[in-house]
Amino acid sequence: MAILQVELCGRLADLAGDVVDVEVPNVGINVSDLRTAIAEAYPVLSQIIFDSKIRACVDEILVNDAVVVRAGQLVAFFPPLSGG
Amino acid sequence: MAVFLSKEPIDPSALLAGFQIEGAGAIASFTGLARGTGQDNAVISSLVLQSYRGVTLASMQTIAVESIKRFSLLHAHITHRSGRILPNEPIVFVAAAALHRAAALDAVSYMMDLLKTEAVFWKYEETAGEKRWIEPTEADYARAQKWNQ
Repeated sequence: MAILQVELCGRLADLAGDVVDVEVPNVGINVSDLRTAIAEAYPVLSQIIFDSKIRACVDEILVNDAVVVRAGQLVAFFPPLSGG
Repeated sequence: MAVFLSKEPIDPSALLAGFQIEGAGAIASFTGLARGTGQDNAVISSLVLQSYRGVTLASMQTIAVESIKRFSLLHAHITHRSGRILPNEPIVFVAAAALHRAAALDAVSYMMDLLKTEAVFWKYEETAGEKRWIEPTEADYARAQKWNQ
């Protein structure tokens, strides 16, 4: 197992801080399973992390839930965007 | 194309004065300002915009590129603030240069509609002792969606 650091953006950071550590298999984990791992490790995120409006970003690219991520990659979760 | 993300206050008048595009028949621009009151008339002390690494600037560049293609612009400009913004300070300046009026005006609306919903920012208002996250409304999403119809 390895520790994946996950960045939380916007209002997600209010709930659990800017970065959370998540234990993941060395071979990696897909984003869908990563959401489950986060929910288990951080109960305060257990509802919101599964919200379909919360998008994953890996190595600065928005990705779908099938993408596999590994420790060392730049992983973040985005709540709905709001510029302008 | 010129796209900037600024942590410092911006000067829309100076940006517009510098938007001199040879051959343009029309230049349209828009400046968005931070409001001093919220939806419930609460006094807002500041608006805070958060960005994320290189993704925010890249998302703004994508919007500018798409606007140039869609409206055959001669030039497009986006400058967006991040950080803490005080009431009446500019949040965003966009400008479009085209051969004709309709394309320039539409391009400015397009860029703003997409900045609202697709640019990688998060923002919250600070009122007396309260922090309130702001997300796009259904109307904001509808305005952005209409460009796909």
